[in-house]
Amino acid sequence: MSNIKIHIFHTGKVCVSLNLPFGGDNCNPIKASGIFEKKVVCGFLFHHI
Amino acid sequence: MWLFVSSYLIEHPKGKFLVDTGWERAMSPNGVFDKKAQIKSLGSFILYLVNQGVIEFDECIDEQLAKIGVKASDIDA
Repeated sequence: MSNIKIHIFHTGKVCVSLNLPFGGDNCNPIKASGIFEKKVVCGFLFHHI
Repeated sequence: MWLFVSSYLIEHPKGKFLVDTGWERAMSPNGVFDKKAQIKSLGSFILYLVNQGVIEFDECIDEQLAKIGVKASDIDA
C-alpha cells in the first residue's frame, strides 16, 4: 500500500458572502451555489486509486 | 464573513503535489488587511471586488513549506 501524507495549511483568509457557506437568512440553494455572487471559494475532491 | 484559505501538500511515492498556494505576501505585506496592496497585487480594482483576502505573517505557503523543510523546487506539480 502506498504511503501518502497530506499536509493542510491555512494560507490566509478570504471574505465571502454568507450565502455561500450557510445560505444566509434566506437559505436558497441557487444563491448558495455562488452563481450570482462576486466572491467565490474553491472546493477540491481528491480521488485516489 | 471570513473563511480560511487552505492549501494542501500531498506527499506521494510518485512526488510532491501542491494544491492551491493561497494568498501571496504582496496581498498583505504587513500581515493585515490592506486594500491598496491587494489591488496592486491582483492588478485591478475589479479583481479586488471579487477577491478580498488577508494573510498574516508566517502564513504564506512558501513560509509554511520552509518550516517543514520543503523548497519550491521540491514540488513536482
